[in-house]
Amino acid sequence: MMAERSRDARLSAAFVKVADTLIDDYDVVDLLDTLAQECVILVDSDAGGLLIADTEGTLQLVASTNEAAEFVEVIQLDAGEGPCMEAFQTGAGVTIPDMSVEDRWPAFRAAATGQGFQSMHAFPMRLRGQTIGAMGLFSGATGELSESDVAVAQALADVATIGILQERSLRDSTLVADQLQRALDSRVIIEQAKGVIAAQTGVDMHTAFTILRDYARHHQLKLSTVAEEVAERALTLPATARARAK
Amino acid sequence: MVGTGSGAGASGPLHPDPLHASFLARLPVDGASVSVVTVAGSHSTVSSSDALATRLEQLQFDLGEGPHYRALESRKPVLVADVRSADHSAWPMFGQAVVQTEARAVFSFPLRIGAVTVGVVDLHRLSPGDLSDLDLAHAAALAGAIAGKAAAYAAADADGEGRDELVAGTRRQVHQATGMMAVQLDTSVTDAFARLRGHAYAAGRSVDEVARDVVAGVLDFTDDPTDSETA
Repeated sequence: MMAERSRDARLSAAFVKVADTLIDDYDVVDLLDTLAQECVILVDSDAGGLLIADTEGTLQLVASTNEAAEFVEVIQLDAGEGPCMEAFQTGAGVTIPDMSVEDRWPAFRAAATGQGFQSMHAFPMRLRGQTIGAMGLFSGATGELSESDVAVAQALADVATIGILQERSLRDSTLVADQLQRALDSRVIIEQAKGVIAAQTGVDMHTAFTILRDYARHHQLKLSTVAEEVAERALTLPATARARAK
Repeated sequence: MVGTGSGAGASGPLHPDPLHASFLARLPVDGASVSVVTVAGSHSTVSSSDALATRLEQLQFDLGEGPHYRALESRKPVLVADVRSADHSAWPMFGQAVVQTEARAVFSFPLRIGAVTVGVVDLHRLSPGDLSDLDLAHAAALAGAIAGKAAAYAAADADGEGRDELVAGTRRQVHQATGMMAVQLDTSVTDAFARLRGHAYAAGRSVDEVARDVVAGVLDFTDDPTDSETA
């Protein structure tokens, strides 16, 4: 249990961080990446993933705290048939306090427990009637999140969702779809850029992503911009970018 | 939300939902066609709204020039708001041909899967006029949304199956492998993606399987003699 004071401080810091990414012309992938990272820390989870619906209503993984293929697979199973899909469809949170007694989604459960996860909570990304995706927070221990943890993570998710929807939806609701599609396109470019970095430096995909993100933050560039330049091979990132950014 | 294309399991070259439909629905245009560059390097039309759209595309294929090719090469939209007053110096033959059609404006958008260009969407209008910034944003998003499907449809037409591969762009390892192969082959991600699909096709394997091997390091295209000529 985190001490109350340090928790308050971290909570404010998380809101400031998420709000900070909502500047003009912000990067949706950056925002969702920050959201997932901050929520995992705040509620003391072990991993988190964020899914956004594409134009056909299929959930796509846009950000995750762990880029290893095994974790990505867990999230993708969840996107097809699992708590995140349910949270997306119903607009309500889904709690699995103990995976070993969960029988609604056997394939998802098998993958999640195979990766050592014993519990998880799925949060809808919603604003009024509109749900744009879901966030899953996974833990290696059994047990439910406290009410305040759920409230905090949902509030952070709500802030991010408002940020995505509010700005343009007033003018034209179809622009939300444009923006979400851009986020999905960015994610593909990030994967291509990770491949470029992995082949250039010999690191694994998770490290490749860290190099990419740290370079973008260090140089105050958009993650998607850096990824595009790397994928176009107009920019070669130093393998030491991570160390330098710290 | 749009339905998820329940006809995805259907066989034959009939596509469950015409890929050009969303462009006609959302943009002030009169016709649209969607085409991709096939594994063999030729152009294949996967969806067309009408005879004029097909004709405009065919003209450019035959002549080997036009906004379609410019969009493919530059990876950026190419906008001709009035074909009768436009500068056609970049495509002189197509310029002569297009003014004899009913089309008064033509717009070409690259179809991109991330940084990979897989084809082009060609739009036309029967009256001259620009697309607005909003239209351009819509068009770019619509192109992004159908790029994976367009590539998959072309692959399905080529070998009669595998329509679902790459749909929805969820295959992270395919994109990662594409990036890795671009470095190994010292080429663009667009060429690397074509090589990945070509390798899978020639080996009778799925793109996913080959991609997994590339990411795992089992398959490495560095110094592969058959690859040095593709750049």
